[in-house]
Amino acid sequence: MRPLRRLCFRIGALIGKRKLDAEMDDEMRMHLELRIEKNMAAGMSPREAYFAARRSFGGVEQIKERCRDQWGLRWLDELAQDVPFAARMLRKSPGFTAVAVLTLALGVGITSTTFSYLRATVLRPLPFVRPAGLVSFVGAQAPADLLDLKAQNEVFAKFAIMDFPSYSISEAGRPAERVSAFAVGGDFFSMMGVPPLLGRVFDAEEDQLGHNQVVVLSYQYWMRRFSGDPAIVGQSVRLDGDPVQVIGVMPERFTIPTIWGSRDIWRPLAMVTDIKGVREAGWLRAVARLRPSVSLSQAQANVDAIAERLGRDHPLTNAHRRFFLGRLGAATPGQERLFYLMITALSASVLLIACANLANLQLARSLRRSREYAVRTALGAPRFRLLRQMLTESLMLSLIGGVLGVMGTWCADKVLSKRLAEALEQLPFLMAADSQQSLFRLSIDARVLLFAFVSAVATGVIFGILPGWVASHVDVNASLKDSGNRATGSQSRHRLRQTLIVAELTLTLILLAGAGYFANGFRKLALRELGWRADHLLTARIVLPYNRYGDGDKCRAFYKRLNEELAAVPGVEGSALCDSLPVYGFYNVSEIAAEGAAPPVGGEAPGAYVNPVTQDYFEALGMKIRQGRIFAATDRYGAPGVAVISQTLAQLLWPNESPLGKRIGGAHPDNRYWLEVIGVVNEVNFSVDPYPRTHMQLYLPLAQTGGNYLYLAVRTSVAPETLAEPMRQAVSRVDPDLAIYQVSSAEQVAARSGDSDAILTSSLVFMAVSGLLLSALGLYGVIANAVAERTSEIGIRIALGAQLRDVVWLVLGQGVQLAVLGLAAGLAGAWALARILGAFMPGVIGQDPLVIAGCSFLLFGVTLLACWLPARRAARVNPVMALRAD
Amino acid sequence: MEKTELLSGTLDLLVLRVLHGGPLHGFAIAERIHALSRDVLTVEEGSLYPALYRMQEKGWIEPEWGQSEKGRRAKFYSLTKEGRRQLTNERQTWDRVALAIGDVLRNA
Repeated sequence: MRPLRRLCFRIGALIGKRKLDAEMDDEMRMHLELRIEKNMAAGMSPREAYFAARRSFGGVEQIKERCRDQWGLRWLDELAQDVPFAARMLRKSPGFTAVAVLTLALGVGITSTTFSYLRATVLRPLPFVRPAGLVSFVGAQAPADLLDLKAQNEVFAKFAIMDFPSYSISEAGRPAERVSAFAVGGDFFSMMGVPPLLGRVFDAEEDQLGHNQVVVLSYQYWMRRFSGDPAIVGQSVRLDGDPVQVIGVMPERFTIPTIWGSRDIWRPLAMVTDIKGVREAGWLRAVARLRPSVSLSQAQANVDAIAERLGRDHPLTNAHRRFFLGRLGAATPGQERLFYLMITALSASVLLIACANLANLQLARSLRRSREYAVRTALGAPRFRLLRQMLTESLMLSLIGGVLGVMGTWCADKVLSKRLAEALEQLPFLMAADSQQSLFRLSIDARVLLFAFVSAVATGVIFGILPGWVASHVDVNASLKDSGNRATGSQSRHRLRQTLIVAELTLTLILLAGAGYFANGFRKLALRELGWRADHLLTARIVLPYNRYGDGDKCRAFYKRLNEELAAVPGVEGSALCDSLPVYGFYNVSEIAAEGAAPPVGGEAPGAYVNPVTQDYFEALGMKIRQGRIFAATDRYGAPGVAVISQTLAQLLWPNESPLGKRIGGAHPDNRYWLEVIGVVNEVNFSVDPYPRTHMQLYLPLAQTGGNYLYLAVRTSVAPETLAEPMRQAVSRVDPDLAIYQVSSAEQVAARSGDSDAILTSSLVFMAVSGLLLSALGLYGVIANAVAERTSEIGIRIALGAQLRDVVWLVLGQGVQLAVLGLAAGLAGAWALARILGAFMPGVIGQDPLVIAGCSFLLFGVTLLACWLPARRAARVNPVMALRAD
Repeated sequence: MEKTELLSGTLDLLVLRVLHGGPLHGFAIAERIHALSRDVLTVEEGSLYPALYRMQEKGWIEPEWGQSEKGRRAKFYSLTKEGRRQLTNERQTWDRVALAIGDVLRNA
């Protein structure tokens, strides 16, 4: 209560300050009058009585002041002086104010925009009940291991195993489409503690084979497929041909793309008995809730103990297997998180540059004002008061800069959100969301505002007060005795300013190089020779469910029938099915050897991508046949194995002879299965996957290998987008329960991946240019200030016969020295940055001498310009004026 | 009679004690202390008013404008509940200290 009342007192006193003063006057006056009356009663003359009373009373104003002190009013008094004074000082130097405010706004704006982006992606809080108690196992696990962990642990209250299958979904009267699903144990929903938006979720009983014919929809999928129709709950749909009942819809916030990707539906896991014992392969994930008093490290210890026991019981598979726990949302997605943090670090360096600039500006300003400080100190202002004056000015600057920065963030968020949305809208017939596609919506919320506000105030205060502190160590005598326009800064103060500039230039070069790496990397990527035609190519994914197709004759019949159906579609020039497409990149790499060749020295056989394709594949993709022939109808199942290889592979295995008729196969020593090389084709590059593991490629006839997970490629004579629907109908005619998904033209896929690249690059370029401008401004400020301080020295030099060139060099030399230091440090930083970023994007970013050289020249050129302007002014110094000015 | 300076820290106690008898304005407080001490203690205005404002801010006393006995507008101070508690405390402390000082002076 008491502190509160004191506060009220003070606020009341502040508001009614005039009234309070008047009351104090009244009170004192009455006291005086009573004293005078008393003195007169004691026999003094009125005059005597008055003076005696005044004498004993003392100074009324001093007493009033001391009374006000008791209420902390002095503090308020002084503040009331400080604020208008600060405003006046800022108005008096509009150049300084504008530059400082803009610097802050830029730094705060860029950093908060990045922060708001991070908030929308990596730092978004989980929408679950008590998310801190949720842990997930890192990486994919084997079913038997997870079942043992679930049964034997003493630390988890709940434990849910998860799988990520995908299905063809269809209902009466609509073509099938592909959905990504989330198969979870019965514990899952109660563990997350989020109730469904509609209907109900499944329970442990429905997580049993035979009872599992239920499905829960995600909000996003419900809106997309069923337009948010609540009547869908209770109805039946077909998943891979099996009827299942829709029992519920989860709320919108339950979909968190950053953890598991966005999934369309939830199904019971209902683990099949014959996979329960599998320990050799892992593909499942698990999430668990800790018991109330159990910490993450205790849980990890318990899991470690179980892992050790499993290692003893199953030495063949589990001898060295460990399980790692991570907080849900924190453990995944590690790589992406790190990458975002790198980008944040780059944007934070803009704020750092802004800080250094601000510090420099304030330092220069406080130097110029050191006479003012000296005068005020001489007149009795305590040092604390001077500092508070500076603090007030800095705070005002930061608040204005911060508000501008937040406004900038708001605009940037609008633009970025719009561009992201546009990037996704360019894919109008994208039928089902790519499972890894995550939609981000940027928004300024309380946290972003708080972040912006705190960074603005912290920047303003720290970098406003520190130089002030330095400057307020004024030697009053020296400063006042000094002739005036040269309150000479000490050597250490100059060094501080120069260090700040060097640091700024260093950060700027790193920023420039970072932007340059991305821009040049993506440019080179776009200019690559692909080796196949990306225009007029429509692509889609298709999965033949194993339970209906098996992996033999039925699949082969499907390949053939689909090919025939598609050939009949007008506008289709050719079609092919394949294991992977160069649009998205190939998947499987095998170690390859030539039959009869000696095992490779060092033990490493060359790796090649293996891609089973139908016979029309090469023609449909527009590839070139270099030697021999491609697959024919005679290369069917049961016929001798054949292969088509790429040029580099041919040259590597048979350097000086024709590969045709030679045999090729897996590199393991007891391989008995060799394929005859019948043809050589050109190499292909991938549009999306910029860093292939190898450049060598090996094609097999799909008819001989079989395959259920396939890509469909259709070469069209018309715009490929127009054939999306006919293609879907063709598939439907072959099997109405089968869906194609990820329908896109090859060019769209490339554009989509290119668009996010473009957003990233342009953001980085914007940051780099801002950083460059800021440091140029900072350098200009320092050099211009140095020139101003040395005006009389330069005057003397000119008077003694120094040439124009000498003077210009005198000033330029100073700047060049700083620039060279900054460049040297920045080069080291840029080199390190390329190494770090290169680890994330090996095909795109590497040591790039061209970028480094370009950025260095740019930075050096800009610094020269920043120094040249003050140098020119120095050269124009009129010696007579300069010497007289003192 | 020679003026005697107040012991530091005792002014609050005296003011609180004098106000215990009822609301008084500043001049009256000074006069009452002067009179009750048989003209030994003189309260300087320069100390009195800051002390009054301090005690007000601490919530021991509260001011109220009213009419003085001669019809003048005056600011009267009265004890709050907290002020009464403070008076008891300070008084006990003073008694203990005075007794202790007396003991030392007598027995040394």
